[in-house]
Amino acid sequence: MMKRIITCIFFLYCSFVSWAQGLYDLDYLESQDKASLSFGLYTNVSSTGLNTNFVSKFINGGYIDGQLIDDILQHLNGTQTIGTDLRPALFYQHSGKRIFGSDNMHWMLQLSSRGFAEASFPSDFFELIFSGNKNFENRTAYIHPFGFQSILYHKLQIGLCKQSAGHRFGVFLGPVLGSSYYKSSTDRGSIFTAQDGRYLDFDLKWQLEQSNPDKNHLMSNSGVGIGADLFWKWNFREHSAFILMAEDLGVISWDGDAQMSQIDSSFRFEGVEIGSIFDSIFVEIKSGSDLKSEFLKEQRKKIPAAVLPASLSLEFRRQFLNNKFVANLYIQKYISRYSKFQVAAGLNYNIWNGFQVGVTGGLSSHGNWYAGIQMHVFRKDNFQLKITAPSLINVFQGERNFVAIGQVLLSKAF
Amino acid sequence: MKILRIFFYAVAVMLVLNSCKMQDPSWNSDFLIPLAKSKLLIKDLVPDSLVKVSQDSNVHIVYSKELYGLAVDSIFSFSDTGVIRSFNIDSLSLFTTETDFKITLGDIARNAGLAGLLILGQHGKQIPVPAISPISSPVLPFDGDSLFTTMTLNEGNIDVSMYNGLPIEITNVLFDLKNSSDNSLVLQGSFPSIPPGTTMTRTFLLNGKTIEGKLNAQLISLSSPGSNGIPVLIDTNNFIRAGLKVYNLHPITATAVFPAQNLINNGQNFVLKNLPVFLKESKAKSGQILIKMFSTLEDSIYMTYRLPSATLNGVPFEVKKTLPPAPPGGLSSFEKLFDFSGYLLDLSGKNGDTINTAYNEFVVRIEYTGIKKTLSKKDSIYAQLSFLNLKPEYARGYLGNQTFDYGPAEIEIDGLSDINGHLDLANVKLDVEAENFIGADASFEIKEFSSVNSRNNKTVDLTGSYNSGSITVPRANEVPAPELVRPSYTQLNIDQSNSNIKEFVANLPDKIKYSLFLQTNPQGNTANYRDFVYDRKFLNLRLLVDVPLEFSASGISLMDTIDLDLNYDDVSKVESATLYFLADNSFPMDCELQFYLFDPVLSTMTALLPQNAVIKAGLYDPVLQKVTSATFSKIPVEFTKSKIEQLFNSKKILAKATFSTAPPNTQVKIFSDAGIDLKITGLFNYLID
Repeated sequence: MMKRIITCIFFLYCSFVSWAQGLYDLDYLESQDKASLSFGLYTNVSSTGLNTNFVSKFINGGYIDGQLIDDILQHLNGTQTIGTDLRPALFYQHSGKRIFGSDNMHWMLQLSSRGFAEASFPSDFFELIFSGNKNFENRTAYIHPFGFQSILYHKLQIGLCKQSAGHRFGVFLGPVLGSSYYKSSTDRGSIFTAQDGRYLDFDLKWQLEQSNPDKNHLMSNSGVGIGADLFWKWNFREHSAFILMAEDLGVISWDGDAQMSQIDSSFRFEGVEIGSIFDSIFVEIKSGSDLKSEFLKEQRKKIPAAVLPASLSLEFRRQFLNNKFVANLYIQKYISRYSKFQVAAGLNYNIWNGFQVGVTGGLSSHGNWYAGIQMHVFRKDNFQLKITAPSLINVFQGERNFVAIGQVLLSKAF
Repeated sequence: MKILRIFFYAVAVMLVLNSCKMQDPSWNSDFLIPLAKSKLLIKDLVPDSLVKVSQDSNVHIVYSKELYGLAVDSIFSFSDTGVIRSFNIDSLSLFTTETDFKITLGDIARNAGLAGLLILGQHGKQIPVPAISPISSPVLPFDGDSLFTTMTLNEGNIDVSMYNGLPIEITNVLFDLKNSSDNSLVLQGSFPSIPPGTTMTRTFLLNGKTIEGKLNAQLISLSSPGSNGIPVLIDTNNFIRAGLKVYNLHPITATAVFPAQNLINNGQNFVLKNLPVFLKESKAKSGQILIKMFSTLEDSIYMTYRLPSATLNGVPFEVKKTLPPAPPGGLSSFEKLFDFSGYLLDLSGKNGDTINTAYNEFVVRIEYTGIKKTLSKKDSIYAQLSFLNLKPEYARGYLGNQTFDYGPAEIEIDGLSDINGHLDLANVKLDVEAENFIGADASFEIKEFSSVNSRNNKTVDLTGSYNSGSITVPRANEVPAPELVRPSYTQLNIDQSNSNIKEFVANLPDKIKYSLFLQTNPQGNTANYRDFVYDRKFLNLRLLVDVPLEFSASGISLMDTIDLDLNYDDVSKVESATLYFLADNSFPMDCELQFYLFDPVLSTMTALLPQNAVIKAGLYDPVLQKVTSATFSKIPVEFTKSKIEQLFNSKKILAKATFSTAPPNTQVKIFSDAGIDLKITGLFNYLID
C-alpha cells in the first residue's frame, strides 16, 4: 500500500512544472526580510523511444502487457536515450541587512540529495530484454552501443548571497557524500540467433565501474567530494531579468572498494552436449549467477572520480501589463553524455495578489515536446507554495514519448 | 529550536520518499534457446567395443566374449609345504696334542745298582755293558689342561712312541697313563725290544674313555741285555725319548677349547607335495620361505641354509645367521620369513633326475672357542623350513593329462538385451576360438550352445555339423622376452553352411548358455617334461561373432531407462514452452522417437513427444547401397506449464527409439559415418521480473 501511495505522490509531483526550472527561488529570496525554511522536490525524466504508457507502467511496477511492448517496438529505431533527475532539498535562509560586515547579504544552508541516471541503448537491446530473442531468429541483435550512468549523492552546502543594484550573486559550497555510482558501456555487443535456435553466437565486450557494491543503499557512504552551485541574476531593465545558474559543479572520489567488472567474450552456445540420449541426461541450466561467474571478470579497485552531473541554465524573465503577466524563456543543458538542450517558455498571470497561475511548455533534454501549467500561492513574509507541472499535458498522451518534469516548493518565513 | 525541529521533520520526509521501493515490473519474453545436442551413432545403439568398420566402411557388429579361461591355478597350485628336522651334532672335534719325555743313560745307571755304577764310572770309555735288570722311572706328569679339562671320547687315538738313543738294546719296556685326579688307568702298554737308535710306536684307541687334562705317565719297567760283551762307548747323556700324541678326538662331551668345525653339514632333497603336475622347474611369482631354528649349544653357532636349486638372478638362495649361545639348559632361537618372489626353483633334485624336488643344504658350525666350553653331542639343533603362499609365475615339466568339465554356464550378451522387433540379417559368422598360451597340447569340445532370449523366453540351440568331436589345440611356443609366449590359435567356424546360426542370432539373445569339455595333454607326456605354463597366460576359449550390418528390420526398438537430472531454479517462471527436436538422419532407417516421463514415484508414465514423431530415414540409394544425403526432421513438442514442471521433476525417463529400414523390406547396409545429428532447442515464454 505504501508503495502505491508513494507512486501516486511521485506521479502527481511529476505532472507539475515549475516556473523556474531549478530549485532556487530567487524571487522569494529577494522578497524575504526574515529567515525562511523551504522544502523542494524537483524531477526531470525524459526518454526517446519509450512512451508514457510504458514508462509509467515500468516505474509503477506490475505486469507489463505485451501490447505495450509491441507499441514501443513498432516505433523504436536506432539508438535511444533516457534520463532521470530527482532532487529533494531542504533550505534554510537567513536574511539580514548586514552579514559578515557586508550589507544585503543572505546566508543559506542547503541539505539536498540527488539521483541522476541516464542511458543510451540500441532498439535491439530493448527488444531483446522486453520481447526476447524469438524475433531475432536467423538474424543478429545488436546491443551496442550501450551506455549507462547513474549516481546518487547528498550535499550539505553553505551559501552566501550578495545583492547589489540590479545584481544578485550567490554561491553554495560544501561537501558531497556519494552513495552509489554506476557507469557502464559496451565496446561491442551482438547476439545471433540461428534458425530454430540451433545455436546462439554471443559477442560482447562490456564494462562496468561501480562504487563499493557492499554499500549501495540510499544513505551509504561510498565516496566523498565537493560540490558548488553558482547563480547570478541581472535585473538589466525594470521588470526584466536574466538568471544564469550553474548547479552541481564538483567531483566525488570513490573509496578503494569500488569495483570494475568486464565481460569480453565471443562464443557459440549450442546447448549442453549429451553423449548419448541413451545414457544419463544431466542438464544444469545455469543460473544467472553461474553465467556471471563464468564470463564476468570482477576486480575490486579504485575507480576514477566521478564528475557530478552539472547543469547550466539561462533564463530570461519579464513582467508586463502592470505586472499582471510574467513571461519567461528558459534554456538548460545537463553536462552529460546523452542529454540535449532543454528549452522552455511560459506565461504567468496574477489573478490576485499572492496567487498566480500560468502555462508553460518546451522541449525536454531528450527531445520531447511538453506542455503544462503552474500555480504559485504566497504571502509575503509568511509562506509560499509553488507547484509546477510543465508536462501535465503529456500525462494524457500515453502514446507519446515519455517526459515528466516537475517541482514542488514549500517555504515558510519566520 | 523550532527551526531545528522543522528541519528534522523535513529530513525524515525525504528519507521516507527515497527509501520506498516501487513494485517490480514484470513482463513476458520469448526466448529461443539451444538446449542440448547429441549425435546418435551406431556406437550409441550398440556398444562401441562391438563395432568394427570394414574396408568398405560397412559396419560390422563384432562380438567377443570369454567362454572359459584355463589358468595356471586351474592346472596346479603349490600347497604350503614344510619340513621340520632335528639335527644332532654330527661330530665334535678337539685339537690334537702331543708331548715327550727324555730319560738319559745316567738316569738309568743311577737306578741300576752295581752295573749302573760301572756304567757311570766308564763315561767316555768303550767298555762292554753288562745286562741291566728291570728298572722303573718316576711318574711323569702330562698337562693338557690348557686345551681341555675333561672329555669323554666317542672316538680318539693316542700314539705312544719310544726312541732308543742308547748304545744298547732295551727290552721289556712297560708303561702306563693315568688320570691324575683318581689315578684311573687310561692306557697301559709295552715294547718288548727297542734296538739302539730306533723308534717304536704303539697306537691306542681312546673310544669310550674319559680323559682329563692332567695325566700321569710312567715307565713301569725297562731292561737291557747289555752289549753282549762288545765294548761300546759309554755316554751317560744318551737318552731314551718317550712321546705321546693324542689325536682324532671326537668327544661325546667335552669341556675343552674347541677348534672351528662344522657341527652339521646336511644336504637333502625337499619334495613339494600334492602336486598334480610333474615339474622340473618353476619360478615363484610370490611366496615366502620361513626358517625357524633352535639350538641348545652353549656356544654361538653359525647357520647357513642354502637352497642351491633356487636362484634369483643366478644367485642361490642362502641364509646365514648366527645364533647366540644358549643359556645352560635353555634354547637359543631364530625365526624369519624371507621373500621368495622371483626365485627360479630347480625341481629336478640334486642330480637332475627327478621332479617336484628341491635340493637344499644346512650347515652349522662353530668357530674356535678360545676358552674352554662344555659341548656335547647330545646338544641338538632344531630347524624348520617351510614354503608359504608360493604362487608360480612360470612352471615347466609335464602338466599331466587333466580334464576339465565347465558348465552349464551363461554369458550375458550386452547390447542386444534392449532390442526387440524383427531382424532379417543377410549374413552371420560365429567362431569359437581357442587361444592357447599354455605350452601343452589340449583339446576342447562343445557340449551345449544355446541362444536365450529372456524377454520372450525363447531358446534356440545351435545345431548342425559344426560339432563333430573334439577340437585339437596345439601347444604354445616359447619365444624370447618380452613376448615369452606365442599362442596357438584354433577356430571352430560356425556359419550358415554348418549350423542354424541365422536363427540363433535372429533370436536376439540376451544370454548364451553353454557347456564345454577341455583336456590337457590328450596324448600324454609327448614333450618329455617340456610343457610350460605362465601366470596370466591362459588357454582361452572365446566366442567371436561377426555380423555385417546389412539387414532389413521393422520395429526394432531400443528402450532404456535414463537417469534425468534437469536443474533450473526458475522453472516456475516459464509460462509455456515448445521444444524442437531437430534431426539430420543419415541412417537408412526411420527412427520413431519417444520419451516417457515417470512421475516421482515411478508409477505412471507420460509420453513426451507426439505420437508418430518420426525422424525420417536418410535418402538411400539402392544402387550404391548407401545413404546419399541426410534427411532433416523437425518435431515440435508443446509444453504447458504443468508439463514443464513434470519434466523438471522427473528423475527417470524412458527413451524408446524404434527403427525400421527404409525402403521397407529392403536389406540396407549401415556405414560407419551414418548417424542422427540431434539438437533440442526450446522456445520459452518466460516471465521476467
